[in-house]
Amino acid sequence: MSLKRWAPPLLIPLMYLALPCTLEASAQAEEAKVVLVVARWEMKENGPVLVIPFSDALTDKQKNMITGGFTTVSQLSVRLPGHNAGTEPGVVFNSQCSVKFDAWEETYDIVRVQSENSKPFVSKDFTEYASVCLTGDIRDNNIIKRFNSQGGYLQAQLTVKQTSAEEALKIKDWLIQQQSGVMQSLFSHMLGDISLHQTHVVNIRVPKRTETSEPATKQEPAVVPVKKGRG
Amino acid sequence: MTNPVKPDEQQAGLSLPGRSLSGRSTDQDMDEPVAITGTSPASKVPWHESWIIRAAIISIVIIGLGYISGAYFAWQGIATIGRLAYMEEVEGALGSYLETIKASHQEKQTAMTVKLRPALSQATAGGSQAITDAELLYLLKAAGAEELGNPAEMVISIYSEFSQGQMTYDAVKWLSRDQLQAGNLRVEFPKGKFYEQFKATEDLRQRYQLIGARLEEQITPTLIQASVTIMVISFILLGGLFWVYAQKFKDKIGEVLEGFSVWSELDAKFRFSPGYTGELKMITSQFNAMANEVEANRQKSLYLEKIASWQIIARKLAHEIKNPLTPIQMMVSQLKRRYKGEDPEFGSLLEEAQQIITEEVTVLRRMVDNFSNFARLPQPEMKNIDLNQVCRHVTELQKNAFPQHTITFESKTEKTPAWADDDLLRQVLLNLVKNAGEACGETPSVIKVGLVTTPSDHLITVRDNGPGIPEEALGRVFEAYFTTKHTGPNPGMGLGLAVCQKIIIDHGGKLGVTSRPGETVFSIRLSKDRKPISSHGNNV
Repeated sequence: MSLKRWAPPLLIPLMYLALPCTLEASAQAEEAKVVLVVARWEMKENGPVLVIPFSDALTDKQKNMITGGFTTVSQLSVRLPGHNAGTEPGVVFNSQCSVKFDAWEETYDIVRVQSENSKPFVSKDFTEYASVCLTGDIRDNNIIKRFNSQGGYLQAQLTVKQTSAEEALKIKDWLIQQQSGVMQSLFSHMLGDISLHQTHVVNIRVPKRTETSEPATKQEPAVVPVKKGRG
Repeated sequence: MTNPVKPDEQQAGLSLPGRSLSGRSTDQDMDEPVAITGTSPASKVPWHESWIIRAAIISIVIIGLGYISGAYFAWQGIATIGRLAYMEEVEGALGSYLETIKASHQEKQTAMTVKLRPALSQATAGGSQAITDAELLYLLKAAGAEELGNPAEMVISIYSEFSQGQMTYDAVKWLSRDQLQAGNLRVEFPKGKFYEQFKATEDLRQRYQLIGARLEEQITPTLIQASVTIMVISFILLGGLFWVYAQKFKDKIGEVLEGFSVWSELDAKFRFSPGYTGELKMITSQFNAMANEVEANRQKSLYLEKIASWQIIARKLAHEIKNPLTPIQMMVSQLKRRYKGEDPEFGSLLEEAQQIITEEVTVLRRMVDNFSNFARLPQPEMKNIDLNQVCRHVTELQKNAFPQHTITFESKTEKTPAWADDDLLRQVLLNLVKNAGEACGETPSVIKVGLVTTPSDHLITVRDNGPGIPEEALGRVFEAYFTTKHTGPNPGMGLGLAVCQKIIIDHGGKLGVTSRPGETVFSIRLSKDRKPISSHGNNV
């Protein structure tokens, strides 16, 4: 069986194999704004604490997820620049909250995960939720010393993802049922989880402790396009 | 178009052995088969010059373009529908509607509170006395609480945070959407129609949000990818199948071309085996028929050339032998007349010599006549004749010549019109029936003359149940000067069947023989639409 004789039919699967890369590339190539927040120093009983508010760093999509009534999990991870997310030596703060906004009662049912006090509680406003789940609170002496006199930059990864899968499953099932025959199984296999989620990176400017306080967050226009993670 | 030579009808002197594509040889001597592989230089057609490959490529390109445009338009369609399926304005409108429902609920709450306060104040004597659950329920119903929920499902309990010094028994306050403080009691309202409406709208909005968020980045690309996957798989399967068939067909064409090349350059006896299908079956069978006809014509031409040579020899022999016969006979007669009879013994010898010489001269003269007849065989004068009449006439004549045998004529029709020379045809049939009669000798035998008409031919057979023709002689019976009758009163010259063969060839027909002990069949096949050919082998 000579390759030359069978080359033309073999071209087709080779071309097709290139296609998912193209599709995937186009799906991923979406620019996101780079958000910059400014940390502030606060004096607490045990000494200075670096407080980083992230409530204004949420994207519209993330806000809609939270206030849309979906049960969501917000994950906040602050690390030193140059370290990959999740690498232990680089992570200086971690927070994870489960929240469900009851649009009827207009309350937030919050559970702070990975906390000593992880009892669920109800909050009546977004600010309180943000102060619990979307605020970084760094007390590590090494970090404090590092940024105390000269300031610097930190980087955070903020993820909001929908955990109430029922609605997503219903819609996925409905979409699959609209297809016919072979398309159903293929589509079902390829579609994956359609729950909402979004992750983006937030740059944090840490002022010197001697600087006067600035407004908590500042949102600046895009500096460098960043590929949005397809989570 | 003539029929191809049937392999079971062996025509002595005109045998057509064949060698097939598979290597089977129909010759008695088994030669090495010619291997057909389809890869000889003569059979290799460059792919870009092959019509079938061109057609396959064009078809595949057209199908591929069809698939690509189908995928493109599917994408366009899905994108268009996606824009219709999700609009921010609709999501906004749903959000506004949710607010409207809540506002309506709040209005109802306020309206009920306005009615409840004075009634409660009166019932609690200005807030100084507590009331019972039932009294509160009565007041709630009177204030229009049904609009907020079914009173039968309301749950009334003690308000734990009621402080007697700081709160009065007529204090009314909504603790949440579904909980009302009325003095020291707390009323839990069931989820009513407002809530149901709210939840239904919220579900719808959530679903809408989900679709809107995932449509462009996940749902649409996945739909396209799944559709394209199915298209590609089906294209690969169908296109691959098509390509396989095109290659197979190209290979078969190569085999056929190689076969043509083998026939024309290496082996004129080459024939294709019957394993082909479709158009190739037609091509190969037509080729086989053509090759058979070419071979038959070649054999006939060779035979006619031989006959012509024999005729030349016969003419010369007749001339050279005939001339001295008369003087020899005359001299013998003169000797006898001149002898006066002085010596009786010499006279007796002379008488015997004259008799012997006269007999031998007679034999020689007969031989010369046969040679002359053979050399002067006329061309047939074709006309419309009735074959039945000719056969019947011959049968009647030979019945009288061979009374010991049963000679019959069989035909399914009364008349069989044909285009032939009846005199020459009669000569042939007389010869064949005479041969049959002589071969059977004195043993009573059955000789059948048969006439059958097929859509393309007239077939005349002379069948006898005599001893048969020896196998070694069967291939030579139509040769001139070949005879199996060497003894007897009329030893053969070996010219009779050669003359018959020539006459039938001149008629454009075929004369054949099959023989085994107990049955010998001579068959004459005259084509209905074939023109007679000349001695030179050309059609007239």
